Amino acid sequence: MSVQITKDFDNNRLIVERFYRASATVVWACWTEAGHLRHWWGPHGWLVDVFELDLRPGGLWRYRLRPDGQHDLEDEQWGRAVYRVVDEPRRLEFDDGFSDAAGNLIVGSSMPTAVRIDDQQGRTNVSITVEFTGSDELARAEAIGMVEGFSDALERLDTLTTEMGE
Amino acid sequence: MSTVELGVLTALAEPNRMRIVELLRDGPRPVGEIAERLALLQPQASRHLRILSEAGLVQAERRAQSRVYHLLPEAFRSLEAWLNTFAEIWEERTDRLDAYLSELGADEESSE
Repeated sequence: MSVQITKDFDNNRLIVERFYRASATVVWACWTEAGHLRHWWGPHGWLVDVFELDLRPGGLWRYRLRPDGQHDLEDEQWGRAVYRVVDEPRRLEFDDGFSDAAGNLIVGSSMPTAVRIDDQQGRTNVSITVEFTGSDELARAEAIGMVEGFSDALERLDTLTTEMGE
Repeated sequence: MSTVELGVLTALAEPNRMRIVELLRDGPRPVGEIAERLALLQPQASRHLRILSEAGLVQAERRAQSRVYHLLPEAFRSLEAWLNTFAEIWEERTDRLDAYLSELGADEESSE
């Protein structure tokens, strides 16, 4: 397939690369304009309502995901991203998180996401790097790899991180 | 490289359930706390937990007044399985962008 996925366990990140038959300018617009994002950002069968999109470093992107058609209010999800780097049309970086309906960030939900858009011989290569947050997460990942019982590992890690915090 | 089973993916395709699994990575939690942390109503959280349970991702234990849910190690033994689910989500998302770009391209051509 045209998509290439690298799972970088050492650095706790995921890299997704893909070529598109469109110009870098158009791809940039798809990533940064509400009218375009609503067509592809949400999972299949979900609608994206963009409430705020302030495309500058420190600016907020707030949106709601809701199932297409009849659904309960409680199924709605609120996204809250903060832009870090806005360098049209090549680099876009943001912390991608969830919030409650009032807009308060859900602690621990934020993932640093970096998008690189490069023209390459008439095609556009898009590379997305998603980092799994924080050093706790790294320590946790190591613990998970070493022991079989997931819950046991996490309990031990909890103890460990608590001790380290003291 | 192991692949995530279809039932698991279907269960996790719903973003609320994905978030529940993310939350339970930190350790077992009672249903009320899961609902509160994720700003869900309890019946909603219970419904999602039932689906996750049917997919073999979580299991409940009755403790005191409430049901405490934990991740099943068989489903989430490794970070690899976890990362795979994220990879699937992003692969689908880039597919949707591709399909959308094709639509945009077709519109441009037809308007020329």
